[in-house]
Amino acid sequence: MKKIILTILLGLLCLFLKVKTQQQYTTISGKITDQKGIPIPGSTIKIKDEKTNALANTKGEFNIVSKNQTGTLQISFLGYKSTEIAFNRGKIGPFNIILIEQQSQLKEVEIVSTGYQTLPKERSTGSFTQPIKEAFDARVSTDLLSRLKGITSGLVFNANTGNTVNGRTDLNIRGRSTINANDQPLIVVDNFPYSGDISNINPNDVETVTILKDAAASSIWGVRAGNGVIVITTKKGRINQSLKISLNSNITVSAKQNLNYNPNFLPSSTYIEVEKFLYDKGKYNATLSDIISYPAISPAVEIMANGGKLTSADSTSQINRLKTIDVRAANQNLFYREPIIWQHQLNLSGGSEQLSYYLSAGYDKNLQTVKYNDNDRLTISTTNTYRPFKKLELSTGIYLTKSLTNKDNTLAILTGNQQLNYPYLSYQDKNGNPIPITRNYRNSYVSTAPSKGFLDWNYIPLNEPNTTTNQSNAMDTRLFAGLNYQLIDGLNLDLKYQYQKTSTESQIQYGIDSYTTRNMINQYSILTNGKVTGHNIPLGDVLSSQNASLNAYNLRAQLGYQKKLGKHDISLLSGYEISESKGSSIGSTLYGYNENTGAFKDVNSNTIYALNPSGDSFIPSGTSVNGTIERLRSVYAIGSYAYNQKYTLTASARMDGSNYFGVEANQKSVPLWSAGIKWNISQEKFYQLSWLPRLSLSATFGYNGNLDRSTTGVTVFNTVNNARFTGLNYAEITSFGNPELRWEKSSQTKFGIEFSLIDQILSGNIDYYLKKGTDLIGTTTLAPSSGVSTFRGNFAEMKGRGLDISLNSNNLKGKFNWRSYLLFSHVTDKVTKYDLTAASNQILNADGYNGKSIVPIVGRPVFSVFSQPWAGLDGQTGDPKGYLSGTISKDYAALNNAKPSDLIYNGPGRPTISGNLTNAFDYKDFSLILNISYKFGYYFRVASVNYSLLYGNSLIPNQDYQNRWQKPGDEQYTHVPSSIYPSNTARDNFYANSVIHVDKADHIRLNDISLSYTFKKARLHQLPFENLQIYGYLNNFGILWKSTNSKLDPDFVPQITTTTISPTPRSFSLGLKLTL
Amino acid sequence: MKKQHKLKIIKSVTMLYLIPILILATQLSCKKNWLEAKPSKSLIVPNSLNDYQQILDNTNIFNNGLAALSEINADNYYTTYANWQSSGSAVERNSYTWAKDLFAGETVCPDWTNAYRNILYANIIIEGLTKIDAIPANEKEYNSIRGGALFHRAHNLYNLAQLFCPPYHDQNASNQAGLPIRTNAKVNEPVIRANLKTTYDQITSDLSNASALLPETQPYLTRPSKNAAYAMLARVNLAIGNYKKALKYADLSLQLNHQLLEFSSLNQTANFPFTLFNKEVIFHCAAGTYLILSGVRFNVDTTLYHSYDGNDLRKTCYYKLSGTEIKFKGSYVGNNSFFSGLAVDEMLLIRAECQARANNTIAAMSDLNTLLKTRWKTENGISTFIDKNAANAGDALAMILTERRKELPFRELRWTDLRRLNQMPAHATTLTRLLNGISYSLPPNDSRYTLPIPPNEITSSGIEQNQR
Repeated sequence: MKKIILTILLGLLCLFLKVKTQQQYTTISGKITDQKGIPIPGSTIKIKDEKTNALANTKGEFNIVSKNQTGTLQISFLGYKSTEIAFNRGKIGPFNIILIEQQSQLKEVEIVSTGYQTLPKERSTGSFTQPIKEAFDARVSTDLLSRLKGITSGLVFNANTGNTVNGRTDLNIRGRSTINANDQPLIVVDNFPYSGDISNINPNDVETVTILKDAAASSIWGVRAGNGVIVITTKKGRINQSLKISLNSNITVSAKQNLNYNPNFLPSSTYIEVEKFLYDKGKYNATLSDIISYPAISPAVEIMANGGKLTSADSTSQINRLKTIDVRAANQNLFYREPIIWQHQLNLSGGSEQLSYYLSAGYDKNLQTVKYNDNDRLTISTTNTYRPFKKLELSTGIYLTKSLTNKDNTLAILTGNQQLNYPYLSYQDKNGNPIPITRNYRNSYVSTAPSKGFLDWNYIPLNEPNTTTNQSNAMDTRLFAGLNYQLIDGLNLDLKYQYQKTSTESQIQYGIDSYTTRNMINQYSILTNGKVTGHNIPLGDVLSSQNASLNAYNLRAQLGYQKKLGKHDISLLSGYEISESKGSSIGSTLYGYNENTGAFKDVNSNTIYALNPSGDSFIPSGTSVNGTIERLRSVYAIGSYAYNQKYTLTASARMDGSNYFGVEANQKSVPLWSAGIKWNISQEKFYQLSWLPRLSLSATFGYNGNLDRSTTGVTVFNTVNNARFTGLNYAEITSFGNPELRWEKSSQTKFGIEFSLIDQILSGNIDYYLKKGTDLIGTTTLAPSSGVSTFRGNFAEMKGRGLDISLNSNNLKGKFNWRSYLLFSHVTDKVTKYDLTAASNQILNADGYNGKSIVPIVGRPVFSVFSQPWAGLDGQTGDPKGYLSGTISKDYAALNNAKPSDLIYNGPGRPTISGNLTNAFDYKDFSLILNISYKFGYYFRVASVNYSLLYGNSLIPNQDYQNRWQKPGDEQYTHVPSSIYPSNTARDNFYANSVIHVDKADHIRLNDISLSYTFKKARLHQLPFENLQIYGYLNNFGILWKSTNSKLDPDFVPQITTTTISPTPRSFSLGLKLTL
Repeated sequence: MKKQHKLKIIKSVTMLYLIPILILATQLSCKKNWLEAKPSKSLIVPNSLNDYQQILDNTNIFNNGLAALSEINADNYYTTYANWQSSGSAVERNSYTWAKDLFAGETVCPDWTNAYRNILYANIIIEGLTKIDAIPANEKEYNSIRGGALFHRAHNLYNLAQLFCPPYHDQNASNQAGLPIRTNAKVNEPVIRANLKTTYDQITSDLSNASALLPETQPYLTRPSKNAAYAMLARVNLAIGNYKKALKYADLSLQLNHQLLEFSSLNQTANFPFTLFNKEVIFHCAAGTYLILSGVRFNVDTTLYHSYDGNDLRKTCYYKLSGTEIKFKGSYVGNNSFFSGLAVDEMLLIRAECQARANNTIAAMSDLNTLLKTRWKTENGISTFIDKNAANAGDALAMILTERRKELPFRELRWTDLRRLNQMPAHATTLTRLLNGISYSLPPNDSRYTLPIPPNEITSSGIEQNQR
């Protein structure tokens, strides 16, 4: 194709030459290369003030004929800095012309998208940020959001939150803007908020990501923009682009989880010591004597309790054998593997004068680190734009994602169940055969089960994965249609419609051989005179299914007007949009299911049955129906005016209405607006700084909104099945209404500077901003005598401010290129109004970590780390000591109720300084990118031994137990208090909250390194393709420096009850990108 | 020609796009109530009688897990040092030893929190009903729901008063601190402690109102009936020493139900001889659970166990021997949790006691004998019980109180009985417990008969704490 075009062009050129040579003409020739000497074919050569054009051939060479004898050649190529060369009769070449690549020069014509419009960054006043493009492109991942980590200014990835613990990302744009409402940014994909799971988007289909950070940028998204907006645009074809095919394929291999990282563990020998201690104290007396419910007893205690029957030598040797076991090794070998991810994507794009298209297919397969857990994803998308004539543009898009997930929960049950979490578990006998372990009942009960007619009641973990299938199938369909029509010159009508349907079908089939099914059948078996005489739950598999679907549509009608009148640039936009997102889910459970015939049996879920060995219960019906609707109706307008490219004014306004529940109609709609101004100083005549050719200042102000959908204006309840004792349907009150509920409002004021030094040696921008949240949803803790412990309303206010600096530098240019990107964000927040004064014990417990409540304190960040002053251990008893109004005290009840002012404020619980340094190097066709990120200015709390939990219902260990105070003098080298029994919760709380457990979380991390080599046709002409890139990528390299002496990674801090947290292991990817 | 053709295509394509969009826009957005749609199916604003009945049918909160600290403080049981040490919370352990500092740094107490939650639920129902018109067609249902809510409000307030208020004395009830009383659903309205008299007045007036509204029978024993309101009034009036009224209401209750279980017909060897909703039950309710009082951890007081006659079937229906330990199995819930509802046997004993106190020895003994006859072994279908006789009313009262103790253990009644009987020197008891060689005792009328209010209540609302 290209060849043909070229031949035609050359032919035309020849014709041209032939005709023109009859006059006095000058022929100029030359060769165009980049800095490395690589030819740039297709570069445009123009002669100034003439209509003559020429293109460089594949070797970068050109000939051009001028009708004048002197003149100026203008050479340009997209992505390179244009250059001019004077010629005259004596100087007609051949010239060696070197075009300089414009790495960051591209930014000047950078187009940003708000989801409502695309506009040149130059003409916008708002803060728009895009991730560092080359680092973003070099990353390998199957999900999009994690690619933004550490390369996007102002976007912080939080750690240790409820989201991250569950494997999702937890983001903040410019810090936190709310206390209790939704705190995650709005994600917009191709102009509309994305309703499904963002992991359905294949990152290889993504063209650009833009973060809307200030009000001028994001306010147009109204009530949903309170936490900022992430605008994602997928790839499209371009008009007049020849067919481009590219293939990307890679494989990622990771290390196994480090199971030894988690400190909430005691080695078997110590664990058994603890059990022995408790046994001697009689802790297990009640459990051991329970011959009604036969509660599970750990193997070691079982041996101790059998003391009378075994010889003591026997039991000692049995105990000693247990002491040598480390369950982590067994878990590592039997349940973990090195995860592997394959990722392939093929896309085609191109366009003619009237049509452009993009077609892509992707397939990912992910074998997760825990065996029997995997998922694959197929993504297919196509977008077409049709421009039948100049005034009309029609576009369509179809996006399909299909994914299949296989799960196996065996390991999760073993490690998540504190009652099963013995460090001396073993799953195999000497010969490697799977063996049973104690789960719900004592062995003495389980072993007699078959003789009574029960199904085998043993729990054999290694047999479990084969007996249960747990699969979910998800399908995400997104259809898009758009129309853009130019009504009159400058006035456009734009209509957009999107429909999205996501459906997830999950099925868990517990086979008859699975423990879950056998246990259920046995529990509900009818026992007459000690023998099973019938089954209330029929023999067969248990099939539990859940179908969830989401139907969403968005519709937008928009009028845009753009006009340039001399020095005046006017752009106006107004529109109307509605959206609806409907979710529904239906669940059911079938008993006695036979996979081959599809047969199942009915059970009676409305009767209480006696359970074996004790208790009574309904048969869980597993039936559930749920439905949600979110509706939003908005009108909006955006306007901008620029004068002479020097001054820009922007404004936006939006009015939203939603079906926010139970709120009075007049409070359902909320007007939000923004305004901004920009001054390009460098365009002024008086501006003289030639070393700083670009400088502009901007200021913006505006409002965003937010809401908390779980808070309602009226008291509401939901209906639940099977009330205790009666089996009736009953109601639970889910929310105590507050009729005065309003939307949250947050304002942001921003001052920005953008600059660029000569030749882009250094360029960047600096933003300083102030945020203010009003009408924030606050939780008031009410006295329990009110009947409700918490009550929500618009009680709170907060303030925040920060600084975002982003600098790009070209350190070295030439054969060896070195570019640096430095991002720096400083953000602080402060609660300024909160009706409630929290008690000390609440304050101490609120540090932003997973599962902990938010307890705002006026004058402090939303997440603050507080602690108790520490006076060491008592030398005689090993008791922890604190300070009560200045004097040393061991009155733990009083210490826990100390005045909040007596607590130590350590600092914020979330980073106040964060950013990264990315360095990119090129040498010839090699390219290397290194990303280092840092987080500073925050604190974390380390868990230590808690005797109430260690000696409680289940034994919750922490390795600090081994360093506990045991005899006078120990206080010299340990701060772990002595063990007391029964434990004292107040003493444990005081110790857990003392200042010795708070540490600085500051750290620097090497995120990733990517290295690539590209074979370019431009250099190797015999190549049958345009480009072939081979790349390697090392991710999650690890911590380079941390402030704490603790072994913990501050981004992976386990709470005392968590045994499964450890840092994400390193991974390595190898792949290729082929472009035809 | 070609151009025209092209235009045609464009036109039709444009239409294809435009029409559905415009239809949708007009269809969906202009509806006035488009934004009124309920955001979640599960969100229901209660506004019908059926909705309120469903709230009332939340047996998980109204009929289960209620006040249990009284049993821990009372003397029906003992526990071993090992089991005491391994009990869940300091509140349990300190209740056992009647320690002055009950909470020892702990702040929350489910007995308090749950009772007030139930009171709020009741108030939501009572308030919500005011927005529904009572018409003849729904009057019965309406009254039943309103009566049920009033009953629960009183029931929970009464339970709280047994723990957190001093024992009732007519003379100084107006000067003693009662409870915070909430009669509306305004959760953020501050409330202080009313005096003790007002507290009990609230309880009795709610119950009287409930008794007028409630139907005589309900399809489920978890729903309060007229009889439940009478029985509760009898219980409350007995607690505050208003024997006349206690007699009146026990009598009204027994007129509605006086069926007694024949213990000889029960399976005495069963793990749990009594079944849920047996015919003596007037109102079903199960007490909350604390680890110290879980089935395997506590033993029945030996003196109590040995006080039963050889022919008294309560000894085998209520208790079993596990080795040398005596275990309780006599709950009317039919499992390990204690029954704290209302039953006919309690009503008979209240009526008997009040008759004795009113000097009606014969009537008193008649009630007592009626009850005991059903508790005794039978021979050839005839009870082996021989009617007891009392020399005088005082003798009768003593006998009735003894049988009350033996009939109603682990019903969450003993603590209140101790509190009220300690005011009569003849029936006052000093409680003692032995733990790890240390003896703890609770003399009659000690200030520790009133529990301190949970610290989280004191910090949040600043109400007056009890002196202990």
